[in-house]
Amino acid sequence: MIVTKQVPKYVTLSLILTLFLSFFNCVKVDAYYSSGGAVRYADTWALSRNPDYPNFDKDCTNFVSQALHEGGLIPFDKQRGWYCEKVLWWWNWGQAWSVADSLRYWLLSANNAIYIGRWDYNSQSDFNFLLKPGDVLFYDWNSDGTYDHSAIVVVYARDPNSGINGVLQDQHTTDRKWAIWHLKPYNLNPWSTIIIAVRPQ
Amino acid sequence: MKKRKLFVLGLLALITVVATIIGYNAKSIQQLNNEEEIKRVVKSALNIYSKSVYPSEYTKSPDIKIPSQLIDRKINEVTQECEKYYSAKSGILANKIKVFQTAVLGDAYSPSDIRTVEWKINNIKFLETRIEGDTATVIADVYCENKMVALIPIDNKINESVKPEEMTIEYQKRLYEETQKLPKKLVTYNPKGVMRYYFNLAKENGIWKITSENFNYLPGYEP
Repeated sequence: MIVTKQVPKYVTLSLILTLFLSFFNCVKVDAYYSSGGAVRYADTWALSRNPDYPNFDKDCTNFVSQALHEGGLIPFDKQRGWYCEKVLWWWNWGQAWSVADSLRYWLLSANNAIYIGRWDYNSQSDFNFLLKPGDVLFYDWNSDGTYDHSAIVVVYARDPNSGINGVLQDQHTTDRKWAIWHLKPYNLNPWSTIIIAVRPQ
Repeated sequence: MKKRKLFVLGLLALITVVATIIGYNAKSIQQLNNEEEIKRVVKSALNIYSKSVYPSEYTKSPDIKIPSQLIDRKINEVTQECEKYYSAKSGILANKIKVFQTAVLGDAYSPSDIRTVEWKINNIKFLETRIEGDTATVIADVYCENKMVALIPIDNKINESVKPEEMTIEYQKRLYEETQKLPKKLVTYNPKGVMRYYFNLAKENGIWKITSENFNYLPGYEP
């Protein structure tokens, strides 16, 4: 006599659900970067926090990542650490989502962006004809090769605080909207600051 | 005979105690001297920033032309200062010379109509100074301020309703040309704050030199 054990319904359902969710984790969606969308998102949330995301003490890269994802429509890349999601009541995020140097590495190594240029103190002019709205800026404060801060280019206009006309950015940590991209008027030590720009695609 | 033996033993014990005390104090004095010397090196290295600033007659406005002899003199000055305090054995000397030369040249031929007027340290708090033989580590909070003068357009004639998608490089070039024609006024910027510095030092031929240096802005003082 053969006895067959019936699998409970909830086990089958959770198996299907797990398979369904893991399918989405490994699917790579091809999408084009919406620089305009990223800029609009950055301008909306430059001086406040989006309650749909976690908030960090050093929030710069979390903010740039949000702009790239929410406004720029770049899909999460969970395998390479660029994601941020709420699971039940806690947040999960990857290092590339929240750490400037890791985001830089993710953008450039995964072919998600092209390298635009590098500027030290004596090449940081107010206008920069290589920069376009939607470009991501990375700042290395002490010229040690590790990028400590990130921001997003949003407009060519007048910085309302310094009065300088030029390329402006939005950033978090010290929250700024439409700040001159080289940040010289706000920097205690501008001489050792190196800035690079990348263009998501 | 027994008394004599006791006397000699007592004398030997006394000599040992005195020698130990002298040795310990000598070591403490040496340690103290090392600590003072390390702090002096760190302070002097941080002060190179103020030495990269031009004399006051050239910092009233960023459009005052700086004579090339003065630029060369400043470059030599900061290079020599770097050589005094940074180790040539690690890459830090070359890196610091590059940073300070960039500062000198950047202020002389400023691409952004900004010139440094003054950079000064208001206070240094040494949080940790650890010496182990011929190497040392230092952590210090540097309270400083940076004063700059800039020429900015008096009027804002920029159309701010342009969509991001319409902000092409050609648009930026037009804006740049318009900005160049606008009358300008002088303004000053004066960021103040605290940076936390981390130094490693090593004694080279009896002289303490910095072998690595790093800093970050304390919360609330990031640019």
